[in-house]
Order: sequence, then C-alpha cells, then structure tokens
Amino acid sequence: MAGAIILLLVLVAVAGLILTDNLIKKVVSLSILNSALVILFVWAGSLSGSEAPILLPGVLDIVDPLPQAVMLTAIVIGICLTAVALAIVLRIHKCYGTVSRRRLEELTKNDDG
Amino acid sequence: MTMAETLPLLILLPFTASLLCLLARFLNRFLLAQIVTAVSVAASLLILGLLLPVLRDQGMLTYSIGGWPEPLGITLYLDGLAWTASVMGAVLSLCALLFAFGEGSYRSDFYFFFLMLLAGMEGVILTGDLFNMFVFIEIVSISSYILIAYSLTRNSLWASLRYLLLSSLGIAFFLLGLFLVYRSTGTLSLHLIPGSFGLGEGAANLPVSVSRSLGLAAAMLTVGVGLKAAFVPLHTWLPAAHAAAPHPVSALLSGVMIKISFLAVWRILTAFGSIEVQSLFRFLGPFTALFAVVLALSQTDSKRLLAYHSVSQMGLIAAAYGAASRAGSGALVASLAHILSHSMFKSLLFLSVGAVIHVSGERDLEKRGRSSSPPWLLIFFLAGAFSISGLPPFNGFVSKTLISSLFKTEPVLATALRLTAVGTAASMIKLSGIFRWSGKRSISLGSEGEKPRLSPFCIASLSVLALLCLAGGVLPRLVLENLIVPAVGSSKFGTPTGSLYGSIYTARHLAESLAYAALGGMLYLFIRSPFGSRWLRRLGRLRLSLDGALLLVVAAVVMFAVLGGYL
Repeated sequence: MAGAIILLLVLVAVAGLILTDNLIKKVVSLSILNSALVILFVWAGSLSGSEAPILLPGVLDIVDPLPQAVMLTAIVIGICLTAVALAIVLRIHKCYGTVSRRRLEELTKNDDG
Repeated sequence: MTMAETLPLLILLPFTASLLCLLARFLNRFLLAQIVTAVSVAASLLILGLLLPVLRDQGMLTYSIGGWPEPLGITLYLDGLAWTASVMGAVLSLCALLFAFGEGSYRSDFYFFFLMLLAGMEGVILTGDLFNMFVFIEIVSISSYILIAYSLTRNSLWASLRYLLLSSLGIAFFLLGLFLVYRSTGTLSLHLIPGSFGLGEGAANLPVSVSRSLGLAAAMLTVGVGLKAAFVPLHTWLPAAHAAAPHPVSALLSGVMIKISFLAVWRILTAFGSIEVQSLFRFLGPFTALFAVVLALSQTDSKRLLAYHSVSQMGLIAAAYGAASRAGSGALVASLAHILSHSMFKSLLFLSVGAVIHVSGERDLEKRGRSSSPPWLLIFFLAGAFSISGLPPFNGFVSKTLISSLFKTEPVLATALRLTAVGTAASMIKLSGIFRWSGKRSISLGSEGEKPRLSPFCIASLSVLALLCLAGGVLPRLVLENLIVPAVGSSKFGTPTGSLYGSIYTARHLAESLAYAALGGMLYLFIRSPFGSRWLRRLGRLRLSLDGALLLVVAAVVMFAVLGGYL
C-alpha cells in the first residue's frame, strides 16, 4: 500500500514536471519528487526493524539508521534547490513578465547565447 | 601528520576560502576575495604536488573522516585518476581566475560561488561513497546554476533555470539508483560494491533479481551523473548554459565540470563492472560527436558554437571510454588523454573568444563589433583552433590520433569520427570570423577613446593555456607516461599495454590530419554558398522545448536500462 502511494507520488511529480506550463508549478513538482524519494528511503528503512535506533538496554530490533540519516541531508539539499529555483523564476518574471514556458520559449526563440 | 591526512584539506581549503570571500563581501574588500581565492587554489596545487611522491609509492591514499573505517564512516580516496583530475581542475581554475581578475567586473560573491564549485568538484573526485557523491554533485550544481545566471541577463536566467530543472530530474534518478544499490547490497561505498556484489565476475553467484536491480541502478546512476557530462540525448541544457555564462565560468564549466561528471560515470561503472552500459558509449559517443558538430556549424553566436563543440568533444571522450569495453585499458588512456587535451584547448578557446568579445563588444559572427580586436589575440585563438581540429603540433592531435586508432576495424563508427573532424575544422574557420576588421569605425556614441583594453592578467592566462596545449603536443610521451597511464593503471583495469602510443607522429597520421583540415576548408566554402547557408540557418533555428528535453531524460533512463538488458 505505502509502496503504491510512493509510486503514485513519483509519477505525479514527473508528470507535473513535464506537462505543466507554469514554471512555478514545475518547481513545485520538483519539490514533490524530492519528497517522494525521501519517503521512499524512510519507508524502506522502517521495514528493517521495529524500534528507534537508540541502543538502550533492552532495545534489540532496531531499524536501520542509515536511510534516515542520509535523507536528512537530502531534505536540506532539496530545500536549497527549491529556493534557488524560485529565486531564478522570480528574476525571470521580472525580466520577461511571464512564467509560462510556452511564452518564454517564443520570446527567446531568436536569442543567441 | 601523515600525508594522507592532507586529503580533506583539498576540499576544506576552497570551502574555508569561500567563507572568507563571503566575509569580504560584507566588508566590501574585493581585493581580499581575489587574493584569498588565488591563494587557496595555489595551495591545493601545492598539496597535490607534495602528495605525488607518496602516491607513486603507495598507489592509493585513503583517509577516513573521524577515524571510522569504511562500512561505517566516510572515506576519501586519492588514486592516480583522482590526482590527475584534481591537478587538471586546479591548473584550469587558476587560469580562469587570472582571466576573471583581468576582466575585473566580478564582485566578491562571484568568488564565493567559484570556490564552492571547486570544492564540490574536488569532493566528487575524492569521495568513495555514492551518497557523498550526490551531496558534492549538488554543491557543484547549485553553484553552477548561480554562476551561469551571474550576469542576470534574460538569456542567462532562462538557461540557468532550464539547466536546473533538467539536472534535478537527473539527480532524482540518481537517488532512485542509490536506493536500489542500498537495498540490494546494503552498502553505498563504491569500493565495497565490487567483489562479492559486482555484476562482472561475481554475477554468476547472484540471484537474478539482485543483479537486475543492480543493473537498473547502474543505468539510473549513469543517467543522473551523465546528464552533466552532456552526451546525446542529455546534452540539451549545455549550449545555452555555457554560452550565457561569464567567460571564465564557461571555460571552467566546459573545461573541468563536464569532465568531472564524466569521471564520476567512469568511477560508478568501474565499481559496478557494468560492461553492458559501458559498451553503449561506443555507439553513443561517435553519434554524439557527429550530431553536435553539425549543430555547431549552424550556430551564429560564437560562444554557442563553442558550447556545441564541448558536446561533440565529449562524444569523442565517451567513444574512447566505450571502446575500452573491448580494447581494454589502452582505450582508457586515449579517453583520459582527450579529457586533458579538451580541457586545455576548450578553456583556451572560450577565453580567447571571450577576450575578443570583451574588446569588440560583439559576439555574433554575422555582425561587426565596435572596434577590431588586437591581431596578436589571433595567435591564442589559432593555438586552440589547431588543437581542437587535431592539427600538429598541439595536444588535440595526440589524443585524437589515439582515439581514431581505436576504431580502425569499425568502418561506420570510424566514418562518423572522420566526418566530425572535418566538421570541427570547418566550424573553426567559421568561428575565426569573429576576428574580422570592423570596417569603418562606426560613428561612435561617445565611446571613442575609451576602447576597452585587455589587462595583463588576461594575456597571462591565455599564454599559460596556449603553452600547455603546445606542450601536450610536443611532448606527448612525457604527458602520457606521467599523467595519464599511471592514472588509468591504478583504477582497477590492470596495467596498460603501452603499444597504443608508440607511434603518434607518423607520416600517415600527419597526412590524415592535414586532409581533414583541407576537407574542412572545402566544407566551409560549401556552407558559405547560398544553398548551404539556407539549410544551416534553418537548422540553427531549431530549439528543443524544455518539456521535450525533460522527456528525453526519462527516455534516456529507459534506453540505458533496456539496451543494457536490465528491464
């Protein structure tokens, strides 16, 4: 069940990235894609045990701590990426007056470099 | 302190220096940022020099951060390949920095991102772990998005966002591949995946499901990193991005960053022992080279033309790398030799064209600038143009000879490479149009008398690069034996045979390279004819939409997985 939901999230994100016209929606799709991958890692990691990986006496069946630790970094990077992307979209809106992919490609059709 | 303990310094030095640049920005001390940047890059070069004797002695240096060994901790590895790539990166970034000092129009925050880019690239080379590779790749990416958009012109913003979206989709596949690797092997270390888990020799002992998901992972990781190495069909971001960036950044991105990404692919496929994916490059490489050179011919913007050549030359590098799946390590020598040559001559070309644009104020090949550039700039341009066209006595001749000798027995692929050489020569003749005299001095709008001058820093940077190109061509044995063969030898493919580079300057090779140049001249005459120019104009207007480019990334993953036989 959880696996199916994650798969759905990934598909929604990739479809959103490719099919939407609005650049802000594209950036949001990217953010969803990143979250879906984070959930995938954490979910798969959670299957490996039943208790938090804090080695107190009596705690035996711990989950694998590595996927969670790794995803903490991935979340931070994802946020940075979204921030930079939105900042660039904002600048694009200031320069061109639009955030539509189609309009932008028409405007830049004859530009070089 | 043992020498291995200086390994983290290679990453930490540029990081610390970049923080100082940020400080300099708030104190408004531009000079401080410049000095700190130059000193930190020079210091990295010095450390690399000191590490060489130890590396020769031990073959590989390792350093575990915090003292935790491999399966638990983070480990840095310096082998021959990493050393050569680091030296290449440090030398070229020093040249790019000199040019940036000469232009003088960059603030302290430029140097901050420049150093972050260098630290990230060094990290990608040194790390022995897939997740750290992901982190460093993202550091490289984010700083390059910002550097590309640094001038805040309309084109550069759009180019930067396109690159960001495409590259992030690629990186998402990289993470997915990383997940598959961890699930099937329980490790992310590139040095623990081979052996008991490898696809190569150990594959027979693996259950089918595990070897399949590892193969799928190899395909995803290759596409994720390979997007930055820009082979067709993942090249769509490169021309606009490299053309829109400031000149020193174009030189650094085309000269070093795409090579580092390619070396990351190299490392991943070596670890996985994935011959299937590697041999795909044997076909993809020549196709990339030819496809991109045709598009390069059709460009009228000087930097965009050069950017397409970066894709084309990456095709040659990938072709040689793919040939290694059959020809063995001799092909790897050719691939690495061309990586080095291309990084030198492409930086030289970008910077000399940048210098011309700086003086004349015009980057379009069909328009005339406000003033003509000094004729001696032509010397630097010609050194780069001869080199990229594979003419002696420059380094391009050596590495292109090595590559073409790999494809002797395959007529189709060899023809593609020959046509590429002809097209390269023709487009370099076209590019030399940027040196034309500006006819009558245009009725100036008060800008007379303050003709932009080139600072000695720019000239120094161009001279160093031109001399390096020449040295690579005049002393091929020295470069191959000291920089390239040891680098390939220590990367687990066994020792090279050495038969390949026995005879480079033979009459036959010289005649061939001159013939390509002559045919290139004829091709140039053809594209100047009304018929040829009409078609090229049409071709040059073709632009792939962003959505199409994103779809191509997904298609590339499927293609690699299916052709590799994993899906």
